[in-house]
Amino acid sequence: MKQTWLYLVSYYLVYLELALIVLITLALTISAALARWRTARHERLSAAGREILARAVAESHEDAAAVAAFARLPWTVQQELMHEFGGSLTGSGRAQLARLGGRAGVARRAERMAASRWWWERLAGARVLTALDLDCAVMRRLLRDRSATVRSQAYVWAAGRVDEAVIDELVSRLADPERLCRFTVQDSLLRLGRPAARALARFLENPAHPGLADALSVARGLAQPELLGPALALAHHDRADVRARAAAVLGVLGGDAAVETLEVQLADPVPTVRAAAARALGDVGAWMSSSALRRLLGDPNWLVRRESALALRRMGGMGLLTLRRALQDGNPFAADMARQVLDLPEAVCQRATA
Amino acid sequence: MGAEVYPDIVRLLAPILAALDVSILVYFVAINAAYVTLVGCATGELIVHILRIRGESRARILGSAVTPSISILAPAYNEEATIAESVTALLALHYANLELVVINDGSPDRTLEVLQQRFDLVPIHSIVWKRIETKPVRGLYRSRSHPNLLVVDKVNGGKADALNVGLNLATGDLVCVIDADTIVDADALQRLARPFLSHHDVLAAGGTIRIANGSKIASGRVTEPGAPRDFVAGVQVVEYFRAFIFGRLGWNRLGGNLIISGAFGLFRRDAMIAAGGYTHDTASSSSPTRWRGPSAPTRCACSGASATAGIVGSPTCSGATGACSSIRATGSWASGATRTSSSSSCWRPSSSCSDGSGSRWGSRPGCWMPPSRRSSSSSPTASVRC
Repeated sequence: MKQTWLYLVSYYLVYLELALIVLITLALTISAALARWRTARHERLSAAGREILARAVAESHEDAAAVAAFARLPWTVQQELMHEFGGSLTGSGRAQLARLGGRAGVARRAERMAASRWWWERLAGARVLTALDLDCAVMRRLLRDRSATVRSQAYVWAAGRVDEAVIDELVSRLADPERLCRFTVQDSLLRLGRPAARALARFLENPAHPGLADALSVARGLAQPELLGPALALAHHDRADVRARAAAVLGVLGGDAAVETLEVQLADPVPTVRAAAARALGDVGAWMSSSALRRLLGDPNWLVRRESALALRRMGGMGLLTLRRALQDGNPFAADMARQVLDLPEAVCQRATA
Repeated sequence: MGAEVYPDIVRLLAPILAALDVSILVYFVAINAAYVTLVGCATGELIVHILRIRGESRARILGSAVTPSISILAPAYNEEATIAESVTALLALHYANLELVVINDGSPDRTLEVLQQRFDLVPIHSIVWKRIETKPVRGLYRSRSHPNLLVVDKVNGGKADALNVGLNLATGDLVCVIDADTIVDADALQRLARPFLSHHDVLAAGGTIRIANGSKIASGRVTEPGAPRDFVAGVQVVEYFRAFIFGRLGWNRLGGNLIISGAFGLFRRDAMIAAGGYTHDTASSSSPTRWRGPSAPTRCACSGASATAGIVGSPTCSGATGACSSIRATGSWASGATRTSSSSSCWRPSSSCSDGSGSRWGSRPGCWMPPSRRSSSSSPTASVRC
């Protein structure tokens, strides 16, 4: 029978497939064996490196032999150990780690990587420099890196720098177009604490800034008196989310001016702002505002009723009395909400308003 | 011999058979090329992910005051034997701002009593903000020992209804939907929340689910991962691996991810509520979760056709679930996926899109996949589930 070209192709394909299966099986076996060997080696070297670092940190000095031994470890192991120790050390321990990293050439290599043209190299370098908590020019440059991931890592590094230029740069990045960067900036500013407050207040003075809402979230966490003025001004901003967050800031700062502004906000046309103002009055503990909050128990919006009731509950005596009176309210929505919030265990109530 | 007897028939059939051969060859070449593409995309996605997370400190997410709050929704039906341990394990997850909403979906057994005794529950006045229509709620309970635990007792209405009740009551920025039999890594929520911190347009993120058979489990955690000895369960390990690592990650890269596993997923609460919650016609409780459609929430979020809304599969965030050792039911996932693809989430007329141009989710079969940046819809064509 005459063989067609298709038959021939099929005939040889079988052999080809068989050969491929054998080759793939062989490759898988070899790679599994290699992976096992590599893992065992990695664990052994990591244990050795960990011992060197632990001894150096505990004894507050490093001998040349230990530094040389650490320098001989593969780069991946050095990196991992730096991340591991850098993440859990502070103060003199971290300074000692940075010294050892410097002497072993880790810092130099990380700086070189941080200047690389490839984003993953820059990221890896930046992470090591962050772990070592080293102040260097290359990290300041990375605050404006084109890669969001690298930029974000630079913001993490900046959380350890109480430096006006770095803080100003961080604050200006509250309007970063990337969500990851904005999150990291907010977190870093919160970790910086009081030193960041003045720069943040300056940022909040411009009501046209696109990052205002995020900046107010940071302001609430910082709760510094210099933020009161901008928060009072922003409580009348055009954007509802900004007004709501300004209310939250006023709630943690307190004072007569804050309470007065919050009471005005209770009549805001946007429910989220009314709810935020009610919550803030609860934070302040402004028992004088209990009658205004009582009125809000009959608000058409669930969230506003809930926050008002929780705020009253947190106020203690006066608020509780108001809530109990609301149980007989002619408005069934107000009475229902008062009853539910009065039923809440104390711990739940504190958590709900935290 | 045959050719000599029936020469005409052979002459007639030969080109047809040859054409059939070629068609089959072309089909398999095409499908394998598609698989190779998917593997390539998954590999690329995995490499980029590894490069991004290597050396990253998750303590930042854990300890930050600006991380989003998460509400875990855990529906329970007839789970008196395991509910206490499951809830304890969920409460012990490593995430700072966490709320747990357990929904007792009208269990006739002692599920609610066990919860009341174990977690010191007190009844509270049961009023609910009904943003999504559900079966009636019979009671609400708060725990005195765990302030972040809320237990809901409701009339039986199925998993979707229970989740909708949970959505009405949850207060977190994100909601995590989890099956009662899913065992989650302690830091899984930190990993799963990462996409929401990285991109403002992420609506949902799913974890990687693995089979727990053969692993050592203590206090609701996998303490020592292992492989099952049973053949069928072993096959499922490979199947889960294929579906989650190769399938969903590959589709992530291609922007075709449509399904988040019902076993473990994280969603933006506002988007879920805007979309109307879960529909009640999913194939089974263990089928991939169907959400009424991402088009509605993006109406609030995007202002033009260029805005993207994504569904993300997280390759390193893992949950584990049990597999059965005999083939009892096949195709439940497949039917779930088919329903998902053919129902409103994908076929909804484009009028619901924000810009009205219909450019995001068209109603034509040819353009049913959202052009999202990340996604996954490659559920198994046949699967074995207990």
